[in-house]
Amino acid sequence: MNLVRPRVLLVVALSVMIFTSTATVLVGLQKAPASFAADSGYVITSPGAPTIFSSSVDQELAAAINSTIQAVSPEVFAFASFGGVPFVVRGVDLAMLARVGPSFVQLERLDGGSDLLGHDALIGTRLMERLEVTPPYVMPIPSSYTSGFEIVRVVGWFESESSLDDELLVSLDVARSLSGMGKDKVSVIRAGNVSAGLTDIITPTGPRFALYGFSVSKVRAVTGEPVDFVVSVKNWGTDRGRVNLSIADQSSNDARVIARTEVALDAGAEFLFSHQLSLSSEGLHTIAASIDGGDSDSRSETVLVVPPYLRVTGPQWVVLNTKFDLYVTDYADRVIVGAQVEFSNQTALSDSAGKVRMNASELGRFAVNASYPGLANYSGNITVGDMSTYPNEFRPRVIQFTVVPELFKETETANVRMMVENDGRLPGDFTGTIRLDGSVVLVQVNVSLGPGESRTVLYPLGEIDPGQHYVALGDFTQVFNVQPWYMNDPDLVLLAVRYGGTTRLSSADAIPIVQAAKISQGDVEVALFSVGAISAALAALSMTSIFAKEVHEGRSKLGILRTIGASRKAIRKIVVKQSLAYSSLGAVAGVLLGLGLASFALRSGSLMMFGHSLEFDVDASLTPVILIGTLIVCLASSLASAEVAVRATPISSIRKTQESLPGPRPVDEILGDE
Amino acid sequence: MGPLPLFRFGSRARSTSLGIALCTMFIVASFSIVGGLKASMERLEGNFESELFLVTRPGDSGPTLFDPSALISVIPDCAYGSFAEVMINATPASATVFFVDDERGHILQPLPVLKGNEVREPLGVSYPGFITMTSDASSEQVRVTSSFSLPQFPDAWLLGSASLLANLTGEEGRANFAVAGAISDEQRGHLASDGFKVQTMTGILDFLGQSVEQIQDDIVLVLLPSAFVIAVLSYGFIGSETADKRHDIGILKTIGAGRRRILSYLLSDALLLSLWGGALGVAFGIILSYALSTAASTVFVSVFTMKVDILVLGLAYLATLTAGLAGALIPSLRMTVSPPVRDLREASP
Repeated sequence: MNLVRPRVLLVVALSVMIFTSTATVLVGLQKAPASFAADSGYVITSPGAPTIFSSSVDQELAAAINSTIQAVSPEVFAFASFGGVPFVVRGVDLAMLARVGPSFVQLERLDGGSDLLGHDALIGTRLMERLEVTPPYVMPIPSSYTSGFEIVRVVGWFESESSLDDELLVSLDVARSLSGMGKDKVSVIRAGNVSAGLTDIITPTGPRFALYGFSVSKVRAVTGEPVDFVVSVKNWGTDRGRVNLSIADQSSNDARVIARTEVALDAGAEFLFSHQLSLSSEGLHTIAASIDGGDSDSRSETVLVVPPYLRVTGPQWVVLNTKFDLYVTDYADRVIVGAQVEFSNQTALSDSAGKVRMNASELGRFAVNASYPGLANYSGNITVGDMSTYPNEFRPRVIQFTVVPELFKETETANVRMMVENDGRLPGDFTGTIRLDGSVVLVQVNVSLGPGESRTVLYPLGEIDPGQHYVALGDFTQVFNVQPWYMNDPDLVLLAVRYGGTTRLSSADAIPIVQAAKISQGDVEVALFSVGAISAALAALSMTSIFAKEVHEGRSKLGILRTIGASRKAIRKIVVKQSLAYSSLGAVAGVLLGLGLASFALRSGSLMMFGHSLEFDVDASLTPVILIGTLIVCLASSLASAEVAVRATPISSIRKTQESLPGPRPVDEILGDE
Repeated sequence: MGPLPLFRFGSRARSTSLGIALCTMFIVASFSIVGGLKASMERLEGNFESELFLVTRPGDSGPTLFDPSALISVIPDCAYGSFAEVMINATPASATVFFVDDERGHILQPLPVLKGNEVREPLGVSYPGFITMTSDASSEQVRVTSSFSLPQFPDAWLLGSASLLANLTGEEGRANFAVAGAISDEQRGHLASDGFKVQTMTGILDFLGQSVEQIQDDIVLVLLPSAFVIAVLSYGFIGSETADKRHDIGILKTIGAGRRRILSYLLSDALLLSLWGGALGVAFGIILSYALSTAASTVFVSVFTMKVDILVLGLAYLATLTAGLAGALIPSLRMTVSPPVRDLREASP
């Protein structure tokens, strides 16, 4: 006996299909944020940024992570539209992108290049279809946040089977220009996976300490001479904590703890410790600074301790048959009286000013030697030249123009050293301008030179930002490098001190697209859940309705069954059997149709979210829930209807009337003419 | 004859109308979410300003040269010009040189008037005094005279004269871009029909606006499942009611009620049910939208608020009525065409 007719199968299948496709699209919608992270992995963003638009992270962080922990890709987002099609412009370094992924399944470049140079761009296959352009193509891209534009040259296309296929890849510089991102800044740093080290640096917990910036004032000192040590400790963790800091001399002949102190620091606070000491034993001393506790760490520097020594200053070139002066000091520039100085068969003692006058009586290059009890001897050279061969004019000539040292840290001092020589017989003033990086006037040079005289002058460089710079004087140019203060620290320390806890690490799924829309992630989750729940309720409602109708229409059959002796249990069995059969079939068909429909809709690219196609992704746990839920709803609704029916007297069921209702109404009542 | 009291507003009608109300509520709430999203976007757009639009006429490989008069006839107040990519001193190094005529629109800041092969370099870029620019069309010796700054144009572009660009592009009096201050929808339509593309020069505005439009297009799909369920509910209700009242309907037919009248009786009942359920659903939808919005704002730091729109409510209501009538049509037609004798026999009390 057919209580439930096959037509219910259609309604169940359609209801389940609608719910399945809705739920699948919702899953895709929920995963839409991941498109900004190329569908998977993690991203580092600036924590204070309320939206992904305003996230700004130091690109240097990416370089530091790359060199110490794992491959990451710094990326800059710009947002554009062309011909009514909105899309994301992603600034990348292709080499770094290749290390992080997603890799290109297909890549075709018409220029044969391997990187994105100048205004080159690569277009994803899906975007290429939507924009209906074919490389090579010159495309105007408006600036994201200000009135302006750039022209990019689309030189190729790629397919990565990821959300990148909906985007335009350009160089970091072009994306910065479009988005107004600052120099050396990026929107996000993307990581394919996340190592414990990266998590530790980006999201530290508790107090975490790093030792950095350990330096000594002298790398060469004499016995007993004061040497200053400086070291810093930073708490880059999230809570206040304490750590023991100690400085020790680790040299084999003078091992000892020089200083020890306990440091208590709030989260983010730094402590600068300086100490002065005298090293008494000659030789190489290794001075180590260390902290103990959870983040045990140490740094060391070496100081060569030498015996006290003499120093002689004077001209390196003198004119034949003239007198010249030499000055004798010790290593600390203190005047030495009575030091014995020898030059070209002449010997003299330094006077109360440390001066010794010598006579240049012979042409040639002669040794200068000085000695004094208790100090190491000095040894040098002076050249005696013939002035008569020089022209009768003032002929200044720069013979040396250098920066000493060529490499130094931003916290250290350096000088421009210029040696200028007069190759003429007349005195004069040499003038010029030393410029820094082509435009900044560093100093106006004015050096007075006598006949044949050469002079070395030093000009301090002052505070200069880290990076490569150059100084120029006339035709002379000297390049030098200023290293950041942390240059000699291990990269991990650099990461911890500079970036520890300063950024935010999120999984791809957690990057709220909704942030892009300036909406909280919670809002969208509530909204998506609500839509999903209501959708499920609707599907349940339609199935309940159709099963209730079917059983209701079969009441007369149920009445006959009851009349011929069928028990309620037997009737329930019939209803359960038929309901199960149709609802199972309908549910399976509905799930398959729903997945097919969702797949078609999503893969067609017609469903877009902020420039990205929604991805088709079936939640594995969803299918059994749908199937079981469908069976429960169908069974419950048919059983409930059957229960109502079998509770009625058999005869009323057969007559299809309800006992509670009155009998047939008069015709005039039906016609409403009462 | 007044409305036929065929059906009573019993438990079946109540549950069916509640079901219809749930569907309508779903439509209203879904549309409201998108409305809220759009409102959020509009607020976000308010943070940015754009008074300028870039107009180009794309060809197979990018912007093509066009006769500026074709554009001026649609947008009289616009600046137009052309740009060309050139090689500098016959080396692989390339640069872009452009000119712009802003005499009509006065949209951009005043620019120096350049003549012949004179160019100006952008700030921060330093070319030697004379350079050779080589394009596909010609090679020109140009003199770099001074610098200029025009924030709306790319930082590295050189500014040239109209005659220089004519030589470099090989076409005199032509343009490949224009900048307009304001463009109406009508002007956009004209431009689109002439093959022009208009881009807001603040890209985020188009990006957000068009993204929300895409979502709005997608959300129309919400109507389908809701309408389907409303139709099933209406089908179930009219089907069950006609089964219960078949005898009464048979009597009506016997005493002369025509098919159209029976159909109108049944459909008007379905319409009544849909009207009631729809009205209830619209009310529930408004309440749910604001409840969701309030709840979300309480729990999360949020700037997202649902926005209920009169047009949305109207659309949801119309969809409910249409689906309700469509669902009722099959059982109503079936009942209309069945012979009265059979109705009386099958449903004999």
